[in-house]
Amino acid sequence: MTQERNYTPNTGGDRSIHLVGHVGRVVGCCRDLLGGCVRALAGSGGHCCGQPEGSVMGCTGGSVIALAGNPNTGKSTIFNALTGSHQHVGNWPGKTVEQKAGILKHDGQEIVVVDLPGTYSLSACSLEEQIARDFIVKAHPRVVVNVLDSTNLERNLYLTAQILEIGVPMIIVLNMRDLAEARGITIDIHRLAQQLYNTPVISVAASREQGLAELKQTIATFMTPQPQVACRLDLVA
Amino acid sequence: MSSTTQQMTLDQVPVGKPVTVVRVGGEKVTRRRLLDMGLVSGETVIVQGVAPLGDPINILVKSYSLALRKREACQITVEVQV
Amino acid sequence: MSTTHMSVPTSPSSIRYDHALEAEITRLSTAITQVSELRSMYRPRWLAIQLLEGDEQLLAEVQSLPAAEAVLRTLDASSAHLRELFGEDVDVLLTDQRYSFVNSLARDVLTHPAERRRTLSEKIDRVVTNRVLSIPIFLALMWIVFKVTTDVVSPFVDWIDGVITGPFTNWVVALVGVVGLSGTWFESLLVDGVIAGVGGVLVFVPVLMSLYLALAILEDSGYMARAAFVMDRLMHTLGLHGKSFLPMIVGFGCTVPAIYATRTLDNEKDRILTGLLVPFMSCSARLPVYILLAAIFFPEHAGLVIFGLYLLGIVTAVLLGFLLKHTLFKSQTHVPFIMELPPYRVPTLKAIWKQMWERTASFVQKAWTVIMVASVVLWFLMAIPLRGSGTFANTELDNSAFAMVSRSIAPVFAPLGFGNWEATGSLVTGFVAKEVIISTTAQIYAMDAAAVETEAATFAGELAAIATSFVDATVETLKAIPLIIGINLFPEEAEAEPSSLMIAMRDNFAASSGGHGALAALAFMVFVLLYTPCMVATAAARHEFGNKWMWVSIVGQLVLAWVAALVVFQGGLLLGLG
Repeated sequence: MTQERNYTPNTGGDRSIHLVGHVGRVVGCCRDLLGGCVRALAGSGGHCCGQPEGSVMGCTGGSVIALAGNPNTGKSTIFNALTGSHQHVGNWPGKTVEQKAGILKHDGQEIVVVDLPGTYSLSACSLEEQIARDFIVKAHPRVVVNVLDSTNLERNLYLTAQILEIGVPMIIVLNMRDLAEARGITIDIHRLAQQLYNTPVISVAASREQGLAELKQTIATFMTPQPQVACRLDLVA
Repeated sequence: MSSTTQQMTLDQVPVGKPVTVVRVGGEKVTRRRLLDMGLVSGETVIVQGVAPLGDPINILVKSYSLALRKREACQITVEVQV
Repeated sequence: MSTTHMSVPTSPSSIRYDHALEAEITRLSTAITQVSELRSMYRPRWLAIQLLEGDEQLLAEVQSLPAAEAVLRTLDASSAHLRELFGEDVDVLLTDQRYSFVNSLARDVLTHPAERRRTLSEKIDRVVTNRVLSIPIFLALMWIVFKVTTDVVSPFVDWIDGVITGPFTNWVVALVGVVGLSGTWFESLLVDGVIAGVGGVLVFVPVLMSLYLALAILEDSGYMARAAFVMDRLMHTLGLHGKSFLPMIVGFGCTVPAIYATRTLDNEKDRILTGLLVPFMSCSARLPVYILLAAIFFPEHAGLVIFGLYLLGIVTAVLLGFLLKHTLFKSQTHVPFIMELPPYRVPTLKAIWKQMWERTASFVQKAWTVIMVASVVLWFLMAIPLRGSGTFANTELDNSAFAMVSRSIAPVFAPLGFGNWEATGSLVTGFVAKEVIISTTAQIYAMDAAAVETEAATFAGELAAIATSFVDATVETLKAIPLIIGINLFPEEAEAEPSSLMIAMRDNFAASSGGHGALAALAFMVFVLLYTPCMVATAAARHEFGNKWMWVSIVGQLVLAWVAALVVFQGGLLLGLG
């Protein structure tokens, strides 16, 4: 499989779509669903917040991961923490929904991180849900990083259940663990991993930059070329 | 559970009274959204407040706050302990 | 600690539904497995569940495959069977059971404190969404945003002006001198065209940064959702969604991000309608126009006039929204309002900075090219002599191509009281971007001044003096830009010492309106408020809503602006005002 990517560096805001879509005009980052290939088609003429085409950031084959989660779970913070300044903001092809993609550099690997629209569900009732679902189902990301708000697992886990049903490899990120702790909420992450068929579970506090190294490490384990280690974990008690 | 229960729609529930969701009706898209947001049968809901102009309402469900218009709330049948 | 391996895609990692459901899921997924197109694309079990849930998109996909006929038959049979068993629709059943899986999972792994305390967010909401306090709080916050973006940033604006007009211009002029082009049209192009344009963009940087700062705080703190909650009833009555409020607020900053902010809305009709109304929210680029004109014509009541204009924009949007909602945008399907009120959070500095910086940077990038091109094109139009004895780059503006173009359009505005070519010219450039109205105005009058000085020098017959006075004049041009901003932000100071620009404009409006300068200026401001925000906003509208809606938007705004300005001017005359 050949991969072709050309990324324009970050230029736009990092807000998820429900916030101000800044002045972005880049119809960028068009993703060929079937090929699982992420391509940045910068420009569509006119004024644009994007850089001119051509600044290519190479990226080694097939390593696309997706970030999924409810709105307001700190998904953006995690996306920023993972990709730093290697971001590209554009639109989902033909859609009025903002697409953000970035590159996570880890141990010499370059992993494309696609930030899916924040959704509560994958029912395809709204445009955002449809986009998120289509990407997970059709683009075959190596792993879906599902970001949850630790203070509200009861609702956040619904999306997790839906991703689980799709049958893609998944990493569960329990964000805002500091807030949960402050509120006296404890989560048995080993148990959670077990109950979710040994999905890796990592608790982080992204705004305090806690647990991110472990997250990167875990993502990297999904990047190894051998398919049988696609879902390694070391969290089972 | 010796006390009697009474059914009503969520838009008629007074502020602060815990109620249990019995059924969610309405058009397909509305119903689907409400279900996805956790308003499934058996769920406990509390109306936390009403917007200054009388609509929408703010409810607590699954320990988070959700705003919905009375038009949506009236699709949700709930049970109240009397 | 142990390590486990699992073969992911085929693992049965899924929720188990109850018996009857599982039986139908299995039956349907077996049928799906027979269809290679589906098998290779989807996990059969997942697809089976989606189809039973009534997913229209996937159903259409299956229906388009001739080979999948058996799947459809099985689906019909299964759905019928399940309906028979449970009465309820299957999607309710599946969601219910998925949630009971989630609930039992949560019960299993979660330990809550014994007593559920009221969270801080809930406490804050008791005040912020309170029936009595919520609207005052909302209005107070909007007022703060407004004040911060207008008054608070003024020193920064001054500083940027100082840098551009002082050292930067001197440096460019010196550089031009070094290459021996001092006093040529090239220098004029650079100083009057390019640097004037650059200045026009950069002075907005602090304004926009403060706006985006405020927005980022409102958004990241969780207040924006409350604003939508508080305002929904009102917005709903106007035919809009509570979420329409956000783009509207953003519209006070800049129409372009506001148009993109309509993406928040789930329903396309709501999105387009909001997108059509957003331009009437007076954007920050229009503010300098009001401030300048208000300072000239209504020095005593400048604040009131400006506030009135903002209000007029809102009222227009409200009335138009109501009208459109009951005509063109009559919706056949009901769009639910179901919105989370996220917990309040202290926004992180990093996130706020990032948003503020990136949004502002993207504005600069956008404005840079557009305004630079506009500025340079404008300079050329002004430099080309179409009559009189002037030569290229040395013609009286009155004789320039720009004046000709503007003059031919001007009669359209005669009934509105500002049928002079200067006002028309600035409106023409205002279509490119509102930021340009002021810089054009400055250019129009400053170039007049330059021409006069040059003439005087020629009369004296001293070539050296021509060069010197030319440089002086161009420096004066650039000095006019900070003066405008100075007027913007310190109208009191400006009042104390009316600039030559202000005097020229006062005379001009008075002349074109038969002595009713103030009324004409008011009509002009109303026109500026209501007509097409800018080229960039137009492009954004096209991007978001397509060509058709872009044209609807442009034509609608022009007609509306013209009619409203006509009503203001003629109505004012009838009432004996001005």
